[in-house]
Amino acid sequence: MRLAEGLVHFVKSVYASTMLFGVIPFKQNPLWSLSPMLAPMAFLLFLSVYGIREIVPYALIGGMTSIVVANSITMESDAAFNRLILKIESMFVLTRGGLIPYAVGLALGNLINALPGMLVFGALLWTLAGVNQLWSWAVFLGALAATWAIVSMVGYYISTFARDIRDLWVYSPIFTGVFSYLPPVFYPLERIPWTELKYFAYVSPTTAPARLMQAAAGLVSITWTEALLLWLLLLVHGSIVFVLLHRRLRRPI
Amino acid sequence: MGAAVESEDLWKTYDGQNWVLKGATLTVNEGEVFALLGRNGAGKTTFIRIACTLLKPSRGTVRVLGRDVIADAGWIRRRIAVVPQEGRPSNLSTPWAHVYYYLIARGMPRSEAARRASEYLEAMELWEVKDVICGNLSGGMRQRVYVAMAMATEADVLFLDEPTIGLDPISKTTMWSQIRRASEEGRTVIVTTHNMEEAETISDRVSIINAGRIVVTGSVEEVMSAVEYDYRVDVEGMADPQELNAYGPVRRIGDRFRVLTTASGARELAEVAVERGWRVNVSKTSLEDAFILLAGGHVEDEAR
Ligand SMILES: Nc1ncnc2c1ncn2[C@@H]1O[C@H](COP(=O)(O)OP(=O)(O)OP(=O)(O)O)[C@@H](O)[C@H]1O
Ligand SMILES: [Mg+2]
Repeated sequence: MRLAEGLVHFVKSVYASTMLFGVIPFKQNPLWSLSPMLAPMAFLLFLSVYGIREIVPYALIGGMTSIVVANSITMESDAAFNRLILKIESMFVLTRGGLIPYAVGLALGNLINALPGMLVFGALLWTLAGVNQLWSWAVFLGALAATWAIVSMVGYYISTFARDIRDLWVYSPIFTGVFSYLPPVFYPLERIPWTELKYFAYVSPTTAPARLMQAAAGLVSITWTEALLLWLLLLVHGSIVFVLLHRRLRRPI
Repeated sequence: MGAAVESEDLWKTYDGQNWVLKGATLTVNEGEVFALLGRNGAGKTTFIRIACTLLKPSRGTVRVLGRDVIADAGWIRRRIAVVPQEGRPSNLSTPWAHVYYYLIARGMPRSEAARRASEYLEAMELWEVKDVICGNLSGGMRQRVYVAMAMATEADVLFLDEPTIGLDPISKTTMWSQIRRASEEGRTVIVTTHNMEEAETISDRVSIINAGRIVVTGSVEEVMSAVEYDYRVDVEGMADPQELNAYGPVRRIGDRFRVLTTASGARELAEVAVERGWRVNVSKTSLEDAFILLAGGHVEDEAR
């Protein structure tokens, strides 16, 4: 009973934060959703122009991932802005659910900006790459949701160290690059020449979801065991960041 | 009547070296408007943030509504609201969205949230602009959005850190009425301000804090009686201001000299001034005079 009540309240708090920080601002500036789409689009254009057909699906999966990453890591400057400039975080600490539903709402708000890009890339994946199995899309959704959650938490975690939002302006593009373009997100893990480096790639929280999506699209083949391990790895990534973040947020300084 | 906020020998340091609060002890009674006064850097915001469970005390205890700010932070948080100093609403959202969704996040049912959002936006004179994004509002209007957010909650204790900064005189008096109204409804309001007229007008009691120490706490009359001078005499046009020192502490304000003095001192000084043709103005001391005497001491920790 208490649990159900708490859950209802949690959902309502998330909804409030999403509306206030996501939906209403998005209506003011829908163009926000364009910029994270541009780099992966350019990439796609190159491949098409040069006629490199067989790697277009990689570019589509990588593109989807990088759109989610770009729109999730912004959590870092959003949260810092709310804390340091608006000081509205102090007000949201004083709510029943505290900062967690507030943060989930912020992150969901950012996801709104990612939606148009996701739809475009999703449609291309369906038509160009012929990914039309329901289970494939379930894997996509799960993998992208995990990416969103983990990268948003990383963003929030970084934001808690900032003393001015200018501290942070540099990080969003860096993290987008480091999470989207360096690890095997736009290319298969097999292309990494050294074994040690392959393992190292798993440090990035985007490696596992990208590999799962590449497998779901039939680009690489993985065993059930590997699939299970990849999902477990995501769980581990998420748990580590959650614990770090939770410890940071619990601090009254 | 119980205590809304009780701090006992409260010490705070941010960096482990410089003490920002140095044994602050004070009690705010339930249902009163309490003004925390002090110079820039005196520790007002620090005190408020500790009482709001946003900051940890380094030493000493603070209780809000009888509960400890560390042990019972969660319980306290549901019963208080804060307007942080120099906060502002998001430029891309509207006053309505701020107040309404904040109330939802605080756990208020939708219909009640809508009713209270309307009521307090109206009270803060924001109803006409409730759907205009805050980026298109004036600075004072934005300030009022935050006050509306805090006041519209169900909180029993409201912490308002400089809520009237940047407000025009009419908005300011509206805000004052709303603060008094909150107190009449049984809520406790702790407010910081640099406006002495405001403190005199709205507060039941005030504390003056100087460099982390509470210098005096009491009603405005009590605080003023802590000062031995009942009168202030403003003199202008004399050749040698030195001789004013005989009457009491002298402060220069532009071309004028302000002397704090006793009733007999005031009478005497006024006569001298009339004789010599100085311009003179005699009045009772105000809270501001008391503040300058009591809080005017060196602010050691300032500007670090
Ligand atoms: N985050 C912080 N880290 C280090 N020192 C701080 C921090 N916040 C405040 N201080 C110091 O604590 C002291 C008290 O600051 P505080 O903000 O409480 O003053 P205040 O009375 O609210 O002043 P004002 O009237 O200017 O708002 C100041 O010396 C300030 O430099
Ligand atoms: Mg302050």
